[in-house]
Amino acid sequence: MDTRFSWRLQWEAGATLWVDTSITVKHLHIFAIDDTFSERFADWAVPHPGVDLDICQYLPTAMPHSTVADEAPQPAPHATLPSSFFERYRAEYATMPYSEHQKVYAIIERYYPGQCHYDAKAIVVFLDGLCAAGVVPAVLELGGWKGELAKEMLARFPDIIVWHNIEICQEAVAKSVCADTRYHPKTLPDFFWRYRPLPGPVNTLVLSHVVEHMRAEDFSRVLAHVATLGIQHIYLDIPHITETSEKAWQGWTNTHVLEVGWKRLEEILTAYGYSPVSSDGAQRTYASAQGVATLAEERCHAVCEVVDATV
Amino acid sequence: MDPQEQDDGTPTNGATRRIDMDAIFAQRHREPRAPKLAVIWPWQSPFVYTRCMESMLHLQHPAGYETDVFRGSGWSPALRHLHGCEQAYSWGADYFVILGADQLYEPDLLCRLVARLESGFEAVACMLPTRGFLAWNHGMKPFGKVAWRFKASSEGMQALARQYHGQAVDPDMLEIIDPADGDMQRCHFVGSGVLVFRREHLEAIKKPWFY
Repeated sequence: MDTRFSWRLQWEAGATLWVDTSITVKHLHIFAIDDTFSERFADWAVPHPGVDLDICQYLPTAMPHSTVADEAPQPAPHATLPSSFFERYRAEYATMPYSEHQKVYAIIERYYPGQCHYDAKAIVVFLDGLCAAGVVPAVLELGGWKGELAKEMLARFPDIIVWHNIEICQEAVAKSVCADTRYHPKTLPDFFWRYRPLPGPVNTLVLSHVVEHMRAEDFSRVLAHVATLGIQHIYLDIPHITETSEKAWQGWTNTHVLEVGWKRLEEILTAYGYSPVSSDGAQRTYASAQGVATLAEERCHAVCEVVDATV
Repeated sequence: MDPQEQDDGTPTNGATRRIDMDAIFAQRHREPRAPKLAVIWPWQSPFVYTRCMESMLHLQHPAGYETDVFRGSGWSPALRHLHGCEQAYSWGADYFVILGADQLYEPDLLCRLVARLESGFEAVACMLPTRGFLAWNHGMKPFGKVAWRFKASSEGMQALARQYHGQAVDPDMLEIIDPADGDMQRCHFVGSGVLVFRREHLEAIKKPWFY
């Protein structure tokens, strides 16, 4: 209301608005809040040395029945993390060490244990296309959580020879739901793009509801890394972005941080030699030059078979 | 900073009229009557912060100005601001100072604000510590002072390069003013804890003035 008025002073009345920072005003509460207060909390985000860095351990929702807990508290049923948790994550995303990212996802796993964010129909079409082209899928999935997608696809596609799930959340890996012998979940000791050796050989990369959890720079690092693995086919499922979106994600209660849209992502993909193959809204597939050739060859065979049958 | 220096790019909507404040100010001081300074404090409750009242009672009135105080009442903050400003406008106020009723002031506050007006600053606000922490204010510290301006860009400021949709959508376009950058700083958004402006501004703003 009042900040709107301050803008209208400028927009409608043509005023120039100034702040006189030399004037001191105290804001009354039970006590008077003066200029020193903000500095009293200057280290508010710096944990005490040795303290458990679980930033949610003191949340009221984390301890519904007691203020004293010997173990990591379990959230109350239907308890959710506050938006401030995610805002802080977004603010510190770029500077957090890998271990801190892991702790954040450990907390998220406690509050939101079930994560089945994938479009089974779309990925079946993608894998069907690969199998039809004679590709034997050896899948590398990043951020596959507890293996929900892997479980469903491995049951459906006997041609898949291996499915690696590299997941940042140790707790999710420990609670895998997929018992298929071709499924190999793993948590790395460092960011994916910094870690070698990588599982291999693989030829297919699956990123379902993952890229929006990384900045464009990190997406570029991922591609630079997988380009060395011989990945020929990439499946992306990225919700909530547009061709040119520049989202800040403020107010979103999730760890979305991707600040660019499809246009920029495709520029990055192109830079690493991946061309678009199909596009259906949030689900898009890409292939390397070799992958494109494989798919084209299959299409050519299919056309020839139709022609032969006709003749 | 020199208030007369070239505008840094505040957008104008084409129809906005530039008010010649220097001419108005000179005219006003040639008139036989003293210019009127209205102090408006929006407050509805019958109970007040005692220390705030003491502080307001100790405010020095600027020499050469007729000063009066108006309490804006009503069920909402906007209505309280409206009521206070309407009373002051009816009284014939030339300058309007809005003061929050939950704050402590230095006794020379009004004199310093008027001095700023006389030196050519059109509308002036103060930054005051927030009560607590507002998570949606990017860059804000707990109990930090808040006033915002558009970040600079190659076109002058971010709002000229991109449509601003509010802090919830475009927080990256704003920056919180740092008091260390100077005593007088251009501002685009600020609260009304301490805000002084002129009669002509109110007359140029379509009603309702506050909503």
